[in-house]
Amino acid sequence: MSRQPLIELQRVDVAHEDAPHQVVLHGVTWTIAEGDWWVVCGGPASGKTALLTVAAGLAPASGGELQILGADPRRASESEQMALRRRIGFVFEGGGRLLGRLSVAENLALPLSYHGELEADAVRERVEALLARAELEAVAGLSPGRLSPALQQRVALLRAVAAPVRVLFLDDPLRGLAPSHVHWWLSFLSDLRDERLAAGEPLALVASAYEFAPWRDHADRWATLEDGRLQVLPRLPGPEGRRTEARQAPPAEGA
Amino acid sequence: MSAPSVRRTRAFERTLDRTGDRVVAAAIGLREMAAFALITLGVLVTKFGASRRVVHPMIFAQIRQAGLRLLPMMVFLGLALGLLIIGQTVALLSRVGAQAYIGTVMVSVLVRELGPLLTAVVVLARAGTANVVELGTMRAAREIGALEALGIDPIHYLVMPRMLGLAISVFCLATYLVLVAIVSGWVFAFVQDVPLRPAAYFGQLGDALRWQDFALFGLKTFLFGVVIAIVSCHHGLARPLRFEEISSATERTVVAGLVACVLLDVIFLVGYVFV
Repeated sequence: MSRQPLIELQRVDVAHEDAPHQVVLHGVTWTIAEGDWWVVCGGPASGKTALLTVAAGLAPASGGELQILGADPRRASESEQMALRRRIGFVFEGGGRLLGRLSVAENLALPLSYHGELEADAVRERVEALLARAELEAVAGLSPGRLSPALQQRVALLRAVAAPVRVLFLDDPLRGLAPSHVHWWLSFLSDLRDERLAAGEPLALVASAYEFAPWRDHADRWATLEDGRLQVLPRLPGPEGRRTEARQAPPAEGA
Repeated sequence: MSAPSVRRTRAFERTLDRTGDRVVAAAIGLREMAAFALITLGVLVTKFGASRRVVHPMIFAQIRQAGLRLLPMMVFLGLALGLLIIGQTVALLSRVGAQAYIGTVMVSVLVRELGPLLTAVVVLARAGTANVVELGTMRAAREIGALEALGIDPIHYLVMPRMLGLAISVFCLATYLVLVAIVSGWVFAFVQDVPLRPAAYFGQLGDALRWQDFALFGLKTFLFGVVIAIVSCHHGLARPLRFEEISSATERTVVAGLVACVLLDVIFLVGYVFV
């Protein structure tokens, strides 16, 4: 049975996030279907973050056709765009961009309370359950700034999956993490994917990375970003074909 | 043409270019701020009741921060106004036998002009700068993008509560300032042995005040709060900022806020002439 496409890019040009006129990826054609687990590998400044933000509808495509959950974000009204974003989770790199003036628990509760999907008690229970699952109950009342970048990133993941999203984008989530944190992330994502599949609501995962190695036993779709192009790989490249992995990731930061 | 003359001409052209650039930049900035204000107004109209569990407590938090916390400062300024201006004016008018104009002078100086404008300046200095630093930090840390990724409208979540909170705060603080100044003014006049009975003093004030004064006082102070919120939120949010640019954005906020409040005051001055 073919899986339903959730996000489709047809010959999309992707611009740099901070320079809308500087196209970093040309003619991207890519389909993310329900249940997929993509890993997009690329070197520094290859356009990983830009590609993910465009595919998630957070930044406009410079050209081509983009469909997110069956809708064209460029033609959607503001309220329709906001509704789309509630179905798409995004974990930003480098600490996840948590709101510094809110506590960890308030960061998790914010999207649930704002969209009014749950009553106040239900929000509290949901937040407590998420924190318990990530073993972060002890830091619930702390400001994100008091956490290490690795734990901030973990809280950002919880915030993204607090709502029942259909696609979860992870921008280089394993960068600079200690092996124990990497293991936690991969286990969490695998369990989450299995749970959603068992519940009949398959979750699509899209992660960017500097190397495929940590994802080998978990992801099932692979792509690379080289020379301004997205290249979908039919299978995971072996050691001789791992050109992208030959480029070393930047030094670890505060794992 | 001689060499010194050519140099002077080029220097003049450069000065004209720079002046033109500044005028164009100011016009573009004004247009952007007007667009920001209209967007905020649209959000206020269409989303006021949305997400009230999150947004409405933020309005009260803003009133607490920009209003209640400034109350001691306003009482102090009211006492100072009473001493420096009202007390002196009352004493002077009494000495020249012009007590009959006390009410008119008080209403013109305090209720129409000094009370609202001084309150706006204090709120701009205290709450407006705090706003631009807070929002600018969020912008520089890219937290605004994170809000949008969560389907949260930054204008609705961050700007609307500040606008309403500041508008209510400026109105309330200006009212307190005027009341404290009026009472303390009489006290200081009494201390100076000015033969002015409280009944006559407050009676003159009451006679000088018209219903238009109350309406315009409310409208003016409310709009001062709106202007301060729009200017500070625009400088913090509307453009990409780096952390090192926040201090200069704060400076620009104070200047732009002051100019905007004074211009608004001028518009009301014209209004008072016709009312």
